[in-house]
Amino acid sequence: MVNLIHKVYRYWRLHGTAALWRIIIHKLFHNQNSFPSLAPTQVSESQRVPSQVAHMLNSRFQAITPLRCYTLPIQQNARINIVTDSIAKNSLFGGVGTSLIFAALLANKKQAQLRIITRTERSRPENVEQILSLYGIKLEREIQFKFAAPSDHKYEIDIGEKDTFITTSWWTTAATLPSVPHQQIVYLLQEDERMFYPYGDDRLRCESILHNQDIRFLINTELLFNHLVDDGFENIRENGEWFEPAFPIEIFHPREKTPQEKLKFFFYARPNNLRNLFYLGIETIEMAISSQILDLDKWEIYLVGKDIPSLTFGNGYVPKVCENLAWSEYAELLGLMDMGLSLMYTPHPSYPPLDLAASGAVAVTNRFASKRELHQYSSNIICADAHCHALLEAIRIAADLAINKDSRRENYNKNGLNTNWERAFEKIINRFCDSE
Amino acid sequence: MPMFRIDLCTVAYSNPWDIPLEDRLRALTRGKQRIAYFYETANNSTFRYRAYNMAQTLNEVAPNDISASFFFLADLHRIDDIVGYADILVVCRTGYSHHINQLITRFRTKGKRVLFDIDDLVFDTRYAHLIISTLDQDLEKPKVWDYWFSYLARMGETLRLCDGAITTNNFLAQKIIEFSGKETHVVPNFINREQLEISEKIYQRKVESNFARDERICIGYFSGSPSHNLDYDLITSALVEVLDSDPRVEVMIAGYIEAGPELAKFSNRIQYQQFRDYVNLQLLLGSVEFNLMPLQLNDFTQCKSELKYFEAAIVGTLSIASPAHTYANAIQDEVNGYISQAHQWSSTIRRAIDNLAEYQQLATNAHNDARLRYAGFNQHETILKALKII
Repeated sequence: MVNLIHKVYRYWRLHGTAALWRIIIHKLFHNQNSFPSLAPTQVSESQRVPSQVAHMLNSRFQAITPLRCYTLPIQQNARINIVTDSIAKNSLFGGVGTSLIFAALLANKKQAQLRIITRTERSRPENVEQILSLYGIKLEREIQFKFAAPSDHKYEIDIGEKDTFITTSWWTTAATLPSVPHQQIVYLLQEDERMFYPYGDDRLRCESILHNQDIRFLINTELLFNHLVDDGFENIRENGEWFEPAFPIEIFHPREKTPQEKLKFFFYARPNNLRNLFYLGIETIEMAISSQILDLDKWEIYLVGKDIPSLTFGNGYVPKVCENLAWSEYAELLGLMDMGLSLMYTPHPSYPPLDLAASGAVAVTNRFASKRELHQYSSNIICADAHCHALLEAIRIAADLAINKDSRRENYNKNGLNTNWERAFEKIINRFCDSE
Repeated sequence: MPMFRIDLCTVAYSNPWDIPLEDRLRALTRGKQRIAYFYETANNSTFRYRAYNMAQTLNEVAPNDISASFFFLADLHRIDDIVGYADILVVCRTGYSHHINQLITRFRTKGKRVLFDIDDLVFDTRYAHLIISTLDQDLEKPKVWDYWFSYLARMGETLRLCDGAITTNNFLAQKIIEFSGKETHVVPNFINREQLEISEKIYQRKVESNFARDERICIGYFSGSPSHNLDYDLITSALVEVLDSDPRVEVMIAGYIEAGPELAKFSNRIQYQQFRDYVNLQLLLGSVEFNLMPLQLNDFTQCKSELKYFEAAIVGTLSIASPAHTYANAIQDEVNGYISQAHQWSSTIRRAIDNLAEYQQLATNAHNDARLRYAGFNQHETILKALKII
């Protein structure tokens, strides 16, 4: 009953009173049992009605439906806006968290308000507090939250000339471009997003956005920046800057363990994120176990990520599975790890290997394109070609390093990772402020 | 659902401003310097704060040669007397019409000053869209646009006709000056005698009982109008989290807001109270531990006064408020209340609950502050300065 009430309420908020009445009257007279879903429904061949092209395109690419903005004639204060899908707890890892930290620091520097615009679900403000307080960032001005669902025809976003929009993906950028002056848009690009897709319409549209000449780009890591520039994105060279992410010691550091504890092995497991090469990973782990590189008498295996299936290794070893961790819980867990395998079939180093190195563990990851070695971050990160045997050899080297406490600690102490987000963004934020 | 043990019954209420015109004219003529407040028709909100309370304070506290009274549209058949007796006219939040123009013209012809008192950012049509959006009105209805553009334009025109303005806070004063160029003074909203009397009784009961409570912790949200949907949205997820984590917590919702489906599973811990008169509302305010004052911040909402704070403070109830201009000026965090940014409602409510041991001290601070800064008997000089009598 509560779910039905919630569905009715949500339908009313999205479509309005008139539409709700139509549905209710339709139900009363046509005696249907379920409330209409907001998602497209399957219809039989005989029920198919030809769709208008515009409708079909809107439906297929709903995520790029333009933001519904109206212009304020007068704007008192500057404002930094983030446009992102969601700030749900499990969305805050990695890129979204980084965008929040950047936006908060920029807002404070510009004495601006921060506004978070989400597209797929309403914000839970407590999640923002969790991240900002974890990183010791206190917002100097009030924050706003706006839910701008593509299917909602009622919401509005007020904008003025003192608004800066930080977009966090090609689709949020595409949704922002029609409604916001382009010079006010900064695309925080944290992956070669073309690689999310096979060659098709989505990839094409993504590439088109990446080629935009009018907006500014902020690229996560010099590696990714160089990759994009080398791949022909002159606009990114002209209008882009890069930064290296930070791993504050207060959050990422080795945790105390008892001598009796087994060594801990971390695998970044996201089977539904294809670029994380889940199957290559479990195949490699299986080989590592059977070849005694990972001796299960000495090692515990943790699968950390999302949508992790139930599985066993070797002769029925059940790994520990960790999902839906809060960021602080994730950092605590990392601090207990000795070694990890984290794969990313893209040019970005990805955060988990860096998280592991920052937390004192030895990390194995794969090479891709210009991502050959990651020694500039840490000598405790070992790169190998993306196939089983190469990764297996890397795990063997990593395991030896993991148990060699002196070498491991020496490498950790010489880590080249940024440890402070203010420093990481300082020059970029100063340039932003100077240019306005 | 008593949380604080107040043991006071509701009082019989009738509008104290229901006074015959003759009596109001007599009140005006008592002094040598006479101020006439004008409002279209009496109500519990703007009229009470900006006309009734002002006149009451001037008559009861100001020097004896000052007198004031209030008049309505229905009184304008006696316009000659009003114009003849009064020295200053204060037109409170009234839109332009032929009546208003004629009234102001009559005063100006006699060389008498006319001031415009406004308590909201509702005189500048450039803010129409922002206001309609903030109040969550139906943008698809042409009548909504017609109403608001008309309302704002008419207010703006009345302001233009006047010699100066009076308003509730500095933020709004700046907006008035930017719009009109008129000299503008601030007289905050404040508590009148009737409200103060019952509030002091409520507060004294709390003091005598050492702020004795039952084991429940009641969080109140008091909504004076249906336009607060979006403000309430700010605290919904926080209320869910707090209700989920602390079985002692209950929620009282008074006025025009529905709790919403997110709180449905806590329905046995949510109580609704109907809108009531401003005197007996103090009993309700006094019974809760915390009064929530969320406010989505933009130029329109930043112009709001701090009345929600002092109405709670005067009965020894602590408020948790968004950092709006007037709220942030009124409340010092953990001294006389709490301030919460929009992402911190859950943790701030929990912090306030964890700090219950200090409740009495903070509530005493809040009460004393409300009495000092917002009680009617302390406002006469501010009013007289705004009227430029002193």
